[in-house]
Amino acid sequence: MSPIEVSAAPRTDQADRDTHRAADGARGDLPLRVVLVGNPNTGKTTLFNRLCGVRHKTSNFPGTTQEARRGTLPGADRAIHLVDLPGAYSLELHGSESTVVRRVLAGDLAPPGEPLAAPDAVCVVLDATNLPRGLMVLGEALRRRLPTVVAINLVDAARRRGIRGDERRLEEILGCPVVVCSARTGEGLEALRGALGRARIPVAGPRAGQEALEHWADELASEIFSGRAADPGATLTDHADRAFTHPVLGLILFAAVMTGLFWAIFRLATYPMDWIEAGFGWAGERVAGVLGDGVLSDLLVGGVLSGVGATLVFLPQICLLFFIIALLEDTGYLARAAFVMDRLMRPFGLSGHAFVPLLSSHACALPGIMAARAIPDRRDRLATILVAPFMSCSARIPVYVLLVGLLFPGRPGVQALAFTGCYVLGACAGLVSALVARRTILRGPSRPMVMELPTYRRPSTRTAALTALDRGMIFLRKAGTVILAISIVLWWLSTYPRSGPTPEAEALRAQAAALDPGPVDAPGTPTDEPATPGDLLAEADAIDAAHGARRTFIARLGSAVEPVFAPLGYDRQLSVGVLASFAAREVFVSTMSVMVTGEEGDAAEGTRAALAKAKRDDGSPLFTWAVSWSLLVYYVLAMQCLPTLAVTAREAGGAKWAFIQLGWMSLLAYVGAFAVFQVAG
Amino acid sequence: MTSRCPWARTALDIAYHDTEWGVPSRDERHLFEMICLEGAQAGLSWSTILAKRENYRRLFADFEPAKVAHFTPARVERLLSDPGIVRHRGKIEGCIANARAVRAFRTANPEPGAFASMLWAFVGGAARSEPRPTMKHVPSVTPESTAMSRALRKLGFTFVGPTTCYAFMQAVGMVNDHLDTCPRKRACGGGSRGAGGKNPGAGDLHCEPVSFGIPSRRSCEGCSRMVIPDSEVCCAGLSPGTPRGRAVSVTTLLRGQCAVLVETDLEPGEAAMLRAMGLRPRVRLKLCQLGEPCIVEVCCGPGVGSRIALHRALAERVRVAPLEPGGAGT
Repeated sequence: MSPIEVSAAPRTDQADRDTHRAADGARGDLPLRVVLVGNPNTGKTTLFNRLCGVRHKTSNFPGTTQEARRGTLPGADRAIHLVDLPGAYSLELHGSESTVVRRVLAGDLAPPGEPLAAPDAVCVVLDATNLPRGLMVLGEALRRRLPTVVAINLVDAARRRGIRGDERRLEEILGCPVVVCSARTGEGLEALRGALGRARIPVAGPRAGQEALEHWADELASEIFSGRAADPGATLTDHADRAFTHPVLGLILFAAVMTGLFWAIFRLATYPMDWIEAGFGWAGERVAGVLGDGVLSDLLVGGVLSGVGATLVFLPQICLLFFIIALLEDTGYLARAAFVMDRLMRPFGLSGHAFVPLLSSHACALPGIMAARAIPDRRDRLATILVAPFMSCSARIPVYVLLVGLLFPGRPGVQALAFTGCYVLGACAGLVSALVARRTILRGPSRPMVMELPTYRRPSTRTAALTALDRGMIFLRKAGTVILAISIVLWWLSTYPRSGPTPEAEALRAQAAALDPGPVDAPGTPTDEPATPGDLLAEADAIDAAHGARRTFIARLGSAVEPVFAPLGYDRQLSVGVLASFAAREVFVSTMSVMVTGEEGDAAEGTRAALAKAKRDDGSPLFTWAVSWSLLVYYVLAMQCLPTLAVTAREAGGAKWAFIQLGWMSLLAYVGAFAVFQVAG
Repeated sequence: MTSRCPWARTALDIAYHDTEWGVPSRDERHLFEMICLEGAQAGLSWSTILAKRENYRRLFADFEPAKVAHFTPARVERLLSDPGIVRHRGKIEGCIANARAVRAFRTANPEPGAFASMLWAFVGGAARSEPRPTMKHVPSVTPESTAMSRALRKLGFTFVGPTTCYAFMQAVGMVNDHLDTCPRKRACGGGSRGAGGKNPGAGDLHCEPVSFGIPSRRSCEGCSRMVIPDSEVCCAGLSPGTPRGRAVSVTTLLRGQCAVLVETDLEPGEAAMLRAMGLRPRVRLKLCQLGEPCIVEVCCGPGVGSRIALHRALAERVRVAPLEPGGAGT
């Protein structure tokens, strides 16, 4: 039986009219809405990127955790809106990818901004090197009777392997355009763009039922394609797989790759981070210069610029992390690494799928938690989301740098060790917490892992760059909204109520004014004069700032909560620092610096030296050995990030999970810091 | 090269391995003894149990179910103070519960040999022998042992988990798990020392291979009794040229060996997922890597096919009909 006859729809006049609906309807006015459907690893996303370039937006399908990537491209006679649907092995499964694809094709789900209707055309992307399986999805799509275009991607790889297909014959059988293309080399993309406007309702398709579908796909494959998998790279792939998933060698290779990754993130990213910091510093000075002293200037410089700037500094790290992850994913290595990690994390109740989310969390927990969507099992996913904030994110770095520097001044080797220790402590706490969660609130069997191992490929830097850009934009949007708002609130709390100048400072200013008339280096000035007028004025400002900082709302709050943190060894000032960190951890450094010295500072030597000399209200040193250790442990373990809690609540599907996360992490941090303070003290 | 299975190390082990382990047994007293001993072993080494075996026989009335069923609580207390056996109240009371379950089963099924037949039905009535190149290829649980465990629990047996049941199946020769290199592999083969040995080919696939392209669910007349509980091996169609053989777990293949997929014994959602990924009946696959994970290459037509990595627990539940070892196929 030929596939042509298998449930071929007779080409009636009605069908012909339908066929031309896509091309004729509302020409020129409305864009043509096309969706990309296909198996995972068919190069669908590369094709999308190649067609749309940077002209695309990433958002979520409403009410789901699946990403909708939407772009526009100029069509033959009207613009085309292209939507990249998640890759699915079948449209009839229960997984969230399949459900989204199914609902979009049925017209009861659409990306934000698109009308809620079935798409005007479906572009089914097939992998030329693995057609029979792709034909299954094609068959399922054909059953929808929507105008269809078939794109046979990766044709360059297929040619290299001696697989030939007769796309004209396929076109004849299906009755809709078939284009061979390669998103990697760009071959056939123009033809595909043209074909999207000529989408036709197919005239052939499989009968109902899984058996019929498989049979249809097999028949079609043998009819259209020839050349069998004498894959020259098969043995090489076997060897590579064996090495990468080997219990010992695989672990060593994994460690090497991760070392390279973190080296790149913490080494290479420092340059753009310095530029961003410098840029914000410069902008702050300019704003202060233009607006002069005043509330508005203070808000812009002290609130908006320093708050958003402190967060944006981490943008290069985030982009770089996702760039490298995308590269690794493209090579096919990550799927193998997931199995290495599966073996390590399984005893803790996490699956190998959790590896990429937890890795991403080392840059920032927000993208990490969002990446957890890809975990198929609900309990695995929830456990991963709950423990992701334990991974030491880049916001903790400034705090680690400061405290480690205070603990081991002038001993870089020991500092590096302590720094690494913080990362290890965080990761271990995360694993143990996952185990606790899986034994209590998320009890249940964990699903054994199954994953396709994609063919090893040379990664596409273009795709990786676009992914990095995408992630960067998501992060920027967050910085522009949530973080901006928090920065402003924090600024207000730490600025008001304002207090006037203190008598001490006034006295110093008067002294400076008295000195001022004479030039500083005038012959009559005694050479042992300890203070120039500039020094005196600066000292006066510092006294005022320190005094003011003690009277603000946040300082009062600090005094109120001091008893809570007293067992950990924190005084009023440190309590404020810890409280302020709740908006963003890195704020700790600048808050402490403001309270101790009265000046904005960073983690540079000057601030550290000043903080090392900081005193409590009773005059004893603030950062003692025990207190520094206690703080370090507290910052490793504590949940101090409002945006993360918000994302946890959204992704886990309820505020309950955010509260569990907050409660557990706070408890652990408090107990840990208390224990360390008592032992070290 | 031939050598004894590596687990047999002590003199007791060796005697047991060479004379008893893997020899098909239909003696109901012996079957009951092995159920109880495998249950007593749980968490301990088998050598420990072998060392205490004579004490067990003496204290448990030579494992006559009818006698053990009458043990009183006072007798349990006495057994608990005897250092000759494993003094675990649960395990001792378990043996008595098992004896009572046998008694109840016999009351409901009075024909002689019914208890043995019931147990042997889980392997289709005849001993099964699958290639076991190394200890890595020997499973600890199979779908059949899981089914047996479930059925025995329903009958009132205790200390009969799927692992215990599989160890029992090995011990009484329902499965021949001697390694291929062990001389006992051949000796235990398909023979039967008990009464009423059934047709020796009963474990084979007894469907004619069906041709490629014809719907695979062809019914097999008269074979419904032989269907393995929870599986349908006898009803699966195979592609032409497939040698007739038993459906085995994919983990028993050798590296590089090709096979034809018969079925997956998984919960529906998981099975549908694997099927969509290309692991569907009648598809040809090659085992690329054995271990954790198992990697199979699926070729369902022209093209390089897809490589799918499976957690070992899943791979054990994918059943295939092996083709020639190392053969690349057509």
